[in-house]
Amino acid sequence: MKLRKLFGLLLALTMVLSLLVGCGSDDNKEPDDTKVTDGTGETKDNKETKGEDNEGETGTEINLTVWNEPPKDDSLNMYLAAEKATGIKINVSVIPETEYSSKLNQMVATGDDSADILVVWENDIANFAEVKGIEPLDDYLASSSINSNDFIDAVAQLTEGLGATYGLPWCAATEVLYYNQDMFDEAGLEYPNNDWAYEDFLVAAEKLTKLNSDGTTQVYGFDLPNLQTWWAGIGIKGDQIYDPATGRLVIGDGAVSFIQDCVDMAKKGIMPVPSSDTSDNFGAGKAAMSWQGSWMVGSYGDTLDFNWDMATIPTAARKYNTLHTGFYTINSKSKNKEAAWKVIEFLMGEEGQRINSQASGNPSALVSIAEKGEWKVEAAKTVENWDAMIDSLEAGVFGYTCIPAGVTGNAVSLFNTAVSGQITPEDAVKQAMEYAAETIGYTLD
Amino acid sequence: MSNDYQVSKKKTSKKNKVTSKLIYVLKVLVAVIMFTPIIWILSGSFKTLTEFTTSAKIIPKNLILDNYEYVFSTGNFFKYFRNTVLLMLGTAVGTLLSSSLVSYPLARMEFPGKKLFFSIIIGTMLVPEISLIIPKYIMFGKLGWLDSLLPMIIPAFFAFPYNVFLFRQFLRSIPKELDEAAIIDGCSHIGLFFRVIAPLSKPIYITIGILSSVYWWNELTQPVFYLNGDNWRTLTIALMTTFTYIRGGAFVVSWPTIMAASSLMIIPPMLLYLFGSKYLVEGIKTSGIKG
Amino acid sequence: MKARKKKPMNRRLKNNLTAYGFMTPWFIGFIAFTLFPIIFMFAVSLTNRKLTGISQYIGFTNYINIFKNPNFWNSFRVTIFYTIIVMIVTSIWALLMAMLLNHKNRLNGIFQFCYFLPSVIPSVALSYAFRSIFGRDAGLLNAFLSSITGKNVLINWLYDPAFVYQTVFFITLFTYSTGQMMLIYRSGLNEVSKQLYEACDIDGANSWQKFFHITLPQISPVLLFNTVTGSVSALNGSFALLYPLTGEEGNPNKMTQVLSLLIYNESFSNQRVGYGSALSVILFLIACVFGIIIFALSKKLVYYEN
Repeated sequence: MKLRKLFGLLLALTMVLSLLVGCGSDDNKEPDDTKVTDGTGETKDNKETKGEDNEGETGTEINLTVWNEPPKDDSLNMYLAAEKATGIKINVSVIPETEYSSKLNQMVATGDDSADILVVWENDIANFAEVKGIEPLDDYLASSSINSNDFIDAVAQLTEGLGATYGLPWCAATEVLYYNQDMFDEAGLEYPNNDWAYEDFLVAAEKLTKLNSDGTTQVYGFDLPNLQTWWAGIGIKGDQIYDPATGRLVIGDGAVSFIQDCVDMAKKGIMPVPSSDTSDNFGAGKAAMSWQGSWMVGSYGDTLDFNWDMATIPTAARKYNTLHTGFYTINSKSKNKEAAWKVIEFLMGEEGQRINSQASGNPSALVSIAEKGEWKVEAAKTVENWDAMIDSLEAGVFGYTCIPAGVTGNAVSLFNTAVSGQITPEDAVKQAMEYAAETIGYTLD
Repeated sequence: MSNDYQVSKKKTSKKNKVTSKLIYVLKVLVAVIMFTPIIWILSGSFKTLTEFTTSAKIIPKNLILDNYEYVFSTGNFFKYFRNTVLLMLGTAVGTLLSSSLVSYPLARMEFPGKKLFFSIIIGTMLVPEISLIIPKYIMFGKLGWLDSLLPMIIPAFFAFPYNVFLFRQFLRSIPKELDEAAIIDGCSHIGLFFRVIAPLSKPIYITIGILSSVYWWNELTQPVFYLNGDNWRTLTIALMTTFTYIRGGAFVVSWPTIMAASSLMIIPPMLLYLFGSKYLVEGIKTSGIKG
Repeated sequence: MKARKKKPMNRRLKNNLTAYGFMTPWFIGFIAFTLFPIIFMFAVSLTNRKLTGISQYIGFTNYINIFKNPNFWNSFRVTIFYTIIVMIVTSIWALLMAMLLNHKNRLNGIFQFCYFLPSVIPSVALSYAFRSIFGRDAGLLNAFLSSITGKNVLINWLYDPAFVYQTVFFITLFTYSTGQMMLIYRSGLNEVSKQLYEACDIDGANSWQKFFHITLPQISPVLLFNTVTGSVSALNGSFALLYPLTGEEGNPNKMTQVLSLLIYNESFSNQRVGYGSALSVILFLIACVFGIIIFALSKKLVYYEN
């Protein structure tokens, strides 16, 4: 009996103590903040010692965090290829897109060392660099075969002003218009081309819509823009969207006009209204056209029951679409920086970029590699207008992705509310701007 | 049951028959309403994405198993399963041990401050976990516990008020004479607890064990806040992330995959229920609930 | 004499120490996981802490900004409205199910299985199931209504301001807390003494009278308990239900953005942890007020035997 009591007491005591120790570090507010900065001091040592360790070690493992599941087909899996080439085991940890940015921020904030390579988004890279959560890569780049002058212009612009190179773009994805060729044939319409005028697009959308006898829609002319392509619609109408100089959300007449068009289309049954069971109407054969990311070429491949092709998103005031990428970065808390760099070097190299392009359908951000056209997904047999990709790439900019996800999420939610007819497009735009100002921290003039 | 009192009055038996038929119809209706979502989940798990988004028929056109195949081949289903089971077991062991210990003096001993402590326990029952999650998140971050199951398992070893309350209710219903007899026999309170009270409290241990396991199997909020990467992801998080979208296609929701993963996730709590259903009502004592 | 006097003292001390020993886990848990976070939360709410950990003392600026923000007031209203209605709706539904089950007939086991199973399945799974059941174009309910009316019913249950609340409240009938309340009602109903009903039968009372004069007063403490836990679960469980159901933006037009969603949205999507903490303090205070009101009401309404 006594023993048990003693044991219980000891257990309780150790728990109390361990907690007190834990809480002890809570009391002063600095550690968490300095931890990140301290990191640089530590990491330098790490680099030297670890670098030596890795030379001799063959069984090194690194963890890579990304938002996409690696492809099922082994020949399209760039991580497997990288493993083969470098002899380093790569564990891919997937955090899906909807949560990606916030989870990565948490990892950096808490000094999480479980990931060596972080694929960081456009809106986060500057913040991470600022808190020294990621390593500057210039030293590594100096002695590497990657030519950083070869990146497309947009990338160079985005990473300017950080003071150093913190990340290398894993690809350059764009947004394009997908269309159902069978439906265009049936309606007797000409296929869209890369300079399609926005007015013609509106007319086609109306003609492609099939209504039931009671006025409900059987086939939509145009699918509802998603979280991403709303911004393309606003961009082609001429709004700046993101001002890199001030970090502000800049929308106005263009947004109002595009939302108004969507409201009209939804009213006539040309476009679906937002609903809880959102789905890909285009893929299901329930919408003739849709605007989506270029990576859908890879997802659709040969899985659709109809003939389809793509084109540049229609031109109104200008051509516009948002570039999407992620930057390979090295976590400054990583214990395997050398190995991580080797893997990045492979993934940014010719073979890594080729496999990535073939798997995702996204062109490389390295001009000389993108020109080879490896991103023309073989499985997408009905696609002929591959020029749309190059054309979109040229028109593409880093736009809404540089603004915090909460701000853009709120804006799209407001746009959708306007499409449902609950608020006017003007109010939606005004509220979105006010929200952005309040959240990012500036006053509207 | 106490409510089957219609036998006592023959006069009204005809009226009662009508009533009980009506009640039966009502019972069936409620059962249909409650069970429909489960049928819908099962049926959806055998449909193709196109069928799911275009038709609302309960019986799928042709039963396909692709969705299940996708669930098993994408991400790490078995790792998520293991994590969820670990979470479930860790918290269950923790809360059973700590909550029963804490409830013992509250139910069966007299000591200064008893009333005060019990009021605080009742008071903390009213504090929603979600309101404290941000400070806890920062706190666990500093302890280096984030992205692991520790922020959820460790607190379980320090008694959850709700479970303490349920334990106390049950322990109070065990006759006090037992204690006196045991104390006279020279048994200490600790001996009494482990040798007499705990074995007699089997129903409440099973009840809380089941309720707690089910709760943590289903828990979404805390994992959403505390877990980041793939290593300790639980099934609920995987359902919202790994299994939500079609491969490579962000924002294209893959409904049938969600339904297939959901169907698989229904099985363990269902088995737990079937195993423990007879204890569930027995274990909960509501007498003198005002405290 | 001396020894005699001393012994009970010792025994009492030993007794008390044993009691406190038993309670140690709770003492620690209460201090580490409740009391400390509350104080810490208040401290963080006075800073402009970002998700990346950078923070600076800014006094009550967060609170001032919150009270100026229409989105907060929207969430505030939604939270209170949601909590009260969910508390009422789920309590009644759980009581109804418990009473139906206590009316035993054949296949009662199957009925209990059907009633209880939805509450033990993950709320994420439920949310997704209901998102598609209440879908506009291919939802089960619209298909069912279409087949009854012969018209093409296209109600946008979860996006139409006229329907969204009814739909969400209906969905809360399937949650874990409703099932748990049902269990507690069942044992409460079992403990109502049989003699009371028999006495009533002799008086010739009908079922309604029995319900209002015996059942309800007898189970009123249980009712209070369920109302209290129901309100906490409504505040607490709202996130797990609504985050997958209507998103962190609380569609449509923030009509379902309860405070817990706003806290998540501000702390993680907008990365303003300090601001999120200030919102948490407010949510905490709301919970306190709810608790006080319920207990104050209970003194008037609940019937205690002793």
